[in-house]
Amino acid sequence: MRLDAESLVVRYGTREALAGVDVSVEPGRILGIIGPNGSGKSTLVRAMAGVRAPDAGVVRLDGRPLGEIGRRERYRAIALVPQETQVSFPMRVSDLVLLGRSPHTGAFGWETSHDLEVARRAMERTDVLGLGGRRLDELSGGERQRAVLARALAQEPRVLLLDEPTSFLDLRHAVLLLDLVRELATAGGLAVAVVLHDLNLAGMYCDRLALLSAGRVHTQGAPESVLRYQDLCTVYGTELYVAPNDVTGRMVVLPLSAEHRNRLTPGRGS
Amino acid sequence: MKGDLESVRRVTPGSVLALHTAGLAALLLSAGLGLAIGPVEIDPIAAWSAPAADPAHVILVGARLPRVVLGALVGGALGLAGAALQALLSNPLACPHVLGISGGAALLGILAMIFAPLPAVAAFGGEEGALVLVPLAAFAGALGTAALVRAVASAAGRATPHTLLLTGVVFNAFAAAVITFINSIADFHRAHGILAWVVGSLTVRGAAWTWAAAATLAAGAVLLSASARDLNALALGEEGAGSLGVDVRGTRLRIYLAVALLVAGAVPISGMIGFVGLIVPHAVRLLVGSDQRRVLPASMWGGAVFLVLADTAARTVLGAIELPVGVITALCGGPFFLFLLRRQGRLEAAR
Repeated sequence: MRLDAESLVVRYGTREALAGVDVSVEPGRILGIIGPNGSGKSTLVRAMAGVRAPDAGVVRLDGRPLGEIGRRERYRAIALVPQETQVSFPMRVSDLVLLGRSPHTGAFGWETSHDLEVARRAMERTDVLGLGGRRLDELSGGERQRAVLARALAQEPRVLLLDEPTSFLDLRHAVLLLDLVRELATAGGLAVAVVLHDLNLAGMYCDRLALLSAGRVHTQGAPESVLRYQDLCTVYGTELYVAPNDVTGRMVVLPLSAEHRNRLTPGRGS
Repeated sequence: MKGDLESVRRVTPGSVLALHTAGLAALLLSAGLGLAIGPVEIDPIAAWSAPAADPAHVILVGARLPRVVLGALVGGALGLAGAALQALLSNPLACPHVLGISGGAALLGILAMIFAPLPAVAAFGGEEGALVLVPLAAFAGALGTAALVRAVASAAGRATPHTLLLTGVVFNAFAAAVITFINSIADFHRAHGILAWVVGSLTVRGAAWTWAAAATLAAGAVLLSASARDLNALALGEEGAGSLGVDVRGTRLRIYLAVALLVAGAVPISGMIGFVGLIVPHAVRLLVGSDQRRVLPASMWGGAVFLVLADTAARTVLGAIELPVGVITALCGGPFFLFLLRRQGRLEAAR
């Protein structure tokens, strides 16, 4: 299934968080959503997931506007992994993952053996099967994020939306998680959109990038056409180092300290 | 390799049925205790089969049994309502009393009680008029307070659990003050018993009132058990639940309706009994985990057991002098609330 956001506008009070955004997510492909703080990345994935109704524009799932698709049907197709998962009461990993079956179960929510099997496979996939009885607050950041991903996979979605899934992870756990996401897209045919702060991870894992700036798409396309020196310096408002990486051939983007910025461009930014 | 998912305690219709059975057994045990113990020593088994005019039989069947039944119904309703509110608001400090819902129900209930004997109202049918009017007014008061407290708490933006609780506590104090004021200006005959509403005391008003409380408890329990799964999802926050297909607004409305029903059944026969809805769900979660399909029924039975025992204590600790049961629950609940508040503060500081 594909998910298309068309001319999305989202306002918080008078502030326009999104001011007309068009992006698309296609089966087997990963769209990376990048941009500085406050550029509307989280708002965009929340609107694409349908948890925040847009003030204008429309999100279509295989051509059908989200608003016309019933809640449960919608979230059998779309899964959202939020930036942070806080639970108010101690919850076990297995309980969290089984919640992913909610859109599939009946009113009283009794899980069938099929539901359990799907949840088990999701946990196996994300390597949290051994953590089933552990409480969420006992897990490390990496384990926790994989448990949340297992919950999303238990929904058996065709579209997976992730909001900064790597922000609390160290380098190893970040690449392990994104390797898995890559595999879900390539082998599983999921359509994926992922918000990433780290431009290097974005350049390495995504098929397309959308660079947001103040609620608009600044540039969009293949990573090499988006991760360009001039565009990035403009959008992020700071001097950067942008060059290809010897190993992957993808772009490496590094921030520069004031000392180095001044050396590069005397007289600018101090 | 079935492994970990199977070995983890699973919630099935059968396991919930077993939970209900265990709850019923615990209630029967505590009811037995409530029937056997009292300021007057009787042999409950001999008294049960004694002739109707026998004083021991009168004490057992006429005095203690109705109290035990009321305690079970009111405790069950409050425990259930507390568990539902804690889950809905993702706040372990919530209960109908703290949120002002009991206060609102008691206030309108008492007004109805005072106005029921007036000729215009009594035309509906005297005591039966009050029977219909008081719970209806209590229901309106409970629902109205829930809406009012929510509106006030969210006036400055979104209703955070803390502003909600604070508003509720203030509203409850206000309701208690108004009730005390009404008590002072009402004539002695009608005022009799009004003050008992403020502290909370089980008052035997007659079989019809008991049936009404049983009916609202049943309705509330059914409504809530159909929402248990949605309440589980709400532990992920409103947006998290929404992204699992939960109709968050609809669920919230259903929960408040159920809570108002439960409180409206309990308040006319017990007033504002505090802390049952606060303590019981916590104790219950320690025993059965945090899945609402277990927490809700277990809180109902746990509340019933707790209040039957508390009322037994209220009837006996001072010998012939009877304490309002609300005093006992507050004595247990006050320190417990402070403990929770402290723990909650530490949890939030640790984040």
